[in-house]
Amino acid sequence: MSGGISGGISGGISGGISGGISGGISGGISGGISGAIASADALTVSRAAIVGPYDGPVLKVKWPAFNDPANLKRWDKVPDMLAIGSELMEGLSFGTNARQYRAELQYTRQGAPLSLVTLKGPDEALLKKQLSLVAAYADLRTDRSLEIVEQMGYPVAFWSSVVGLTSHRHSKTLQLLEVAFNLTASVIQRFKFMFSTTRPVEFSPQIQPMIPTPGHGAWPSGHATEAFVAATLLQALLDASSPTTARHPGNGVASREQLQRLAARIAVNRTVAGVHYPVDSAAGRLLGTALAEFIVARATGGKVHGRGFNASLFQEPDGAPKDFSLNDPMDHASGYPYTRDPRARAVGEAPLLNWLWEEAVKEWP
Amino acid sequence: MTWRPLPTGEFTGIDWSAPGAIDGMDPYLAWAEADGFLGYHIPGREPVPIKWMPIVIGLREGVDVRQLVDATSTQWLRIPLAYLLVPGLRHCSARVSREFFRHWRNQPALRDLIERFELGLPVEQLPLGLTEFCTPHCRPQPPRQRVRGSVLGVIDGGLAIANAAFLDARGHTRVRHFWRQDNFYGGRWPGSPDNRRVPLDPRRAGPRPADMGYGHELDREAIDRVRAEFTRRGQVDEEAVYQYVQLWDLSHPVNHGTHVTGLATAPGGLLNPGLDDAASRSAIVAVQLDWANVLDTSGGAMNVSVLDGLMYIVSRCADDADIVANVSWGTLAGPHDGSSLLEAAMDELVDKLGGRLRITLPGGNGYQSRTHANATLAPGESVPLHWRIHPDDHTQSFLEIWLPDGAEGVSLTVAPPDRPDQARTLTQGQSGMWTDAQGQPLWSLIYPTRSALGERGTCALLVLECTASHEADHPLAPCGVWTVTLRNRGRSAVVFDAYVERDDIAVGLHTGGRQSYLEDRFYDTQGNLNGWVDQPGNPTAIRRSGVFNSLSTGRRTVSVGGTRVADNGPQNLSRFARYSPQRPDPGPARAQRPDVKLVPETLAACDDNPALWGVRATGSLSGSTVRLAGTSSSAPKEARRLLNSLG
Repeated sequence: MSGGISGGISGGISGGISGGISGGISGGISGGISGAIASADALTVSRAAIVGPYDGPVLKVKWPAFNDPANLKRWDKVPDMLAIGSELMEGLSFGTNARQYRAELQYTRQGAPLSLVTLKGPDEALLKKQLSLVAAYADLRTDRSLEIVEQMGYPVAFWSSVVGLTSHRHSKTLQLLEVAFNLTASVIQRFKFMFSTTRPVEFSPQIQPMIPTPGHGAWPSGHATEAFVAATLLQALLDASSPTTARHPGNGVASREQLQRLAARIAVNRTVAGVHYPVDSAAGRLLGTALAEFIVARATGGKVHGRGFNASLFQEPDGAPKDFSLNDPMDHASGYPYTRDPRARAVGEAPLLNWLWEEAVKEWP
Repeated sequence: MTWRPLPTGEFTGIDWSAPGAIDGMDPYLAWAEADGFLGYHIPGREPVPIKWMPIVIGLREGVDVRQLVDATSTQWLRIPLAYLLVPGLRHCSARVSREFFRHWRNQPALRDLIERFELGLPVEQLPLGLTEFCTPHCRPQPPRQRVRGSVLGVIDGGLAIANAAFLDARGHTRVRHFWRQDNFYGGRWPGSPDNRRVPLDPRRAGPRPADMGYGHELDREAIDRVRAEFTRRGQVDEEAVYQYVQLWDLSHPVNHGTHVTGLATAPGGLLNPGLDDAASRSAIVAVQLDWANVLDTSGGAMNVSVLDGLMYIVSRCADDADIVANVSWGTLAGPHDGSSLLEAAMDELVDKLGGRLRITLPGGNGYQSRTHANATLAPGESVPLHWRIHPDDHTQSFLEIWLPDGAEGVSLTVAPPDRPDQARTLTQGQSGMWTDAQGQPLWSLIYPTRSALGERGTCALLVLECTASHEADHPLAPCGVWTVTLRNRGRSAVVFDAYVERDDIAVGLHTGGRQSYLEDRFYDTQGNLNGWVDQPGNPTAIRRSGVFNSLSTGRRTVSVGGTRVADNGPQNLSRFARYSPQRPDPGPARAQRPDVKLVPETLAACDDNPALWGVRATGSLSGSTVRLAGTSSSAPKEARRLLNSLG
């Protein structure tokens, strides 16, 4: 299950970045060591020649404590990410209400469930109206074609260029992002399955998307969700390492506008490409923000506010199709497509995730 | 680094810093004298003193060219004969010597005749005058073989006169008269044999037209003759033709003037065999602009060349001919209310010809360029403009700030990037310049009470030297963000427009210029669906509405905006070429200076579709087609429509 996804992702993210950036310089030695595989036959013959009679366990070891987060630093990235990912999954479950066309991600702690995200899906009539925006956005295809193609996978290079992420300095941050994306992928695919929203290409032979339509439902947008997870998480991380003072905004706050704009652009690019509606990006913004807030709260023992998205409210007052915009408020308690519960609820700290979070914070600035 | 008053001009003898010296004058002339015409200097060549300066003149109400000629001396003022062929004109071009300015300074009689004048581009740095010109009481005769019927006039660069698209049914050229304004070959463009400046050979390039006094012209016979001469085995060797007549630009496969003329008058050809309209049988009278003129599109470059070109076209047409003249060129700065000298001259010419002349012009390509700001300053209010100047910009940059009448209370503060101690504030009537240790000016602000550049209000000119140069010890201005703050210390609200002049690269040429623009954090550059027109409620002063070809805001000329052939969706994004002004104006209603024009008269397609910009039309060599984008492709389509409507 998650091994398949994270194997692909870790190859994509840390392999992609560390391979690409560090390949040139450190690839020589550390690349040589970490990647070194000698064949089993070579090792066998070499041992037989040098081993001599067996002397017993002559080395001192440092015995690890049980279930100690500090042990994570002994082990490799992928096993660590799988362990942390599994901890992050604890307490999460999904609820549905078919009559209300509603799905919910819940978190249960000590028997008390809290709603993290509530999604009410778009109906066919809304999507048909949204389709005219998808057609209109096609006008921008030549502008965005380079970005669209390069953002088909995880667009980590774009985040890197905003906050200066590098593989040699920020390897724990990259792992944290990967853990976040792993959780996000699971949650997104479950929601996408529930609504199984029809893609634009199915409504009209004139959409003619410029990239292949992915093999899962349209709503919410995976790219938008991941993009807003990244923006929200990076902002929190930068603020944790360089907090706001009386005289200076935190580095996260100072980077917020660019992070949000990049997330919005990645999201809109999918509409330009012809594979998403603007309402998919809006839901993704909501979901990504909520998931990142949950992850940060779990990493730090903080609190979350439940968030919601109601697609039936996502239209203009006169009934015209509504476009995705960063200017739309997300924090009203009700009456808007995006809502936020004013009550803050504690989620409790996840020790393994906390270890990774603290290690990542140390990497900034 | 010193702030100094403007100097006394070496050519004009005008002390530009004297009170009132700049009022009612052309600020580009004042600047040119301040920097010794450095901006017109061709790098790598020795600067040669100017003997005859080209200008465009606007005469006072009730005065015409005849009276001006009779009241002055050809020792110091020379006007092409063509300007007397249409009686009663109040606008003309001229070449003037230093002596003219002595009279201008000392004799009120001259000022009683001349209301204003503007500097044209000295197209070459050689003491070129006119070889023939009006003399007092002369009676110029109209040229022979004037063209009758409906005529397409073209003023542009790079016209392939031997192209098969411009032949008639019998295989003769429809180009009845062709005038090229250049006089030398050898220069910055590829295709010319070497870098020396050698006069064009009149036996090849054609004789000088007597009524214009410069350049070379070819008529139909000459063009047909040279085509026949270079016909081998039934095929015209066009490259040999252009080499022979010394039209070096035609060695490029793409030429702006050829593309434009093709749109206006070429038959459909293989791509469109059904297109066989009246326009495709029209006679053509064409004027090729001098490359050196076209190279630097900043400053007062276009006026003399274009006006002379129009007079040539009119003089070569019979009194009953119907002329549609297309000028596919434009600038971004100017009054934008039809009162620039060239626009006033064009309006006058159209009026004088009583409906027999129509002039089409492109609406402009700067809609997304951030070269325009417009705002209303309440009393006491101030607005900062941030003007971004690029590094590696090898040409000067110009910002014109247009104020209406009654704006005497507006002060202007200019702060160069990272140099707050060099900030300067001027009020109306003042001028000055920052100079380097050698006394060379780096930037200047000229803020008169009235300007020759337009008839209403005034224009303040901010000029910056280039930010890079291949020449050692060339004065350089700093690159970065220049802050220009307008403050209204008066008692009533003032609407202003600021225009950055065009500084981009024309087709096929390399000036080394980089287009500067305005910026602020409110202007939406994200390019989403609503990001291509001005947004209601956005407080930015930078406005797309109002970016408009400043040659095309006259009352009698036809400005043409650009649309797409294939219009794929909601009108406001899909219908218009992104770079074109729109009709109607999509922006929220906003206070404007009186009579400012920001909407084109009509529209024609200049992009095929959202993914494929530009349209295909005639390439330099017969049978070739090329794609060019811009409202330069819209104007000739309207010219074509007008030609067809003539029947």
